[in-house]
Amino acid sequence: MFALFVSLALGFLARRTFARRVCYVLWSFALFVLVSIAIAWLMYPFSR
Amino acid sequence: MNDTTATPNEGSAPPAKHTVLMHTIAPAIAVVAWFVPGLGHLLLRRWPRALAFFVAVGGLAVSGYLMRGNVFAPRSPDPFGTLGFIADACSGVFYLLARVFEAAGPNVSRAIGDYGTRFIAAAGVVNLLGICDAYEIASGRRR
Repeated sequence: MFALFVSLALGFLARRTFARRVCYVLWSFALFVLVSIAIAWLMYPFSR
Repeated sequence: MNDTTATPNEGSAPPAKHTVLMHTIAPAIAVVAWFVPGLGHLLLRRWPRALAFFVAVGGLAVSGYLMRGNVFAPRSPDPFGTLGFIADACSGVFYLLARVFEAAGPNVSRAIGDYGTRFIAAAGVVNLLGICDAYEIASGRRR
């Protein structure tokens, strides 16, 4: 949810046309999710 | 020989009235954009941006309240509380209506309450971006 809302705001700030905004929002959302998963895996050894 | 008696300002246009007006209303647009997320853009006739900022800021803030995140008070004994208040207050009317959305009060004993605290602060930060954007559009620096 956090990624969705923040990506929405960033998309409208960074891009002007509808198609480019949609691409940017989807790209930003995917990056949020992927980086979150990557950080979670990096922290996994420390949680044990 | 060139005529060098001309004064430096001869031939230059005076400041346009709309430029002066823009620099006058830009701070007012910023205040309005702070108070109601997206309203500054709405007044500037940027309908899609207005809706996007309202949904983004409102969604983050309400989600944070539903998760029972901590809402920082104006007076706090430590600097983190003060920073948290500044971040929360940037969401404007959503901060003022915190008691309405979070009637049961915060509950940070569980992890979800901690997430809620971050969501509420993020709402303020996103609205801050919207305020800066609305100000730049109103002052003519951004189309």
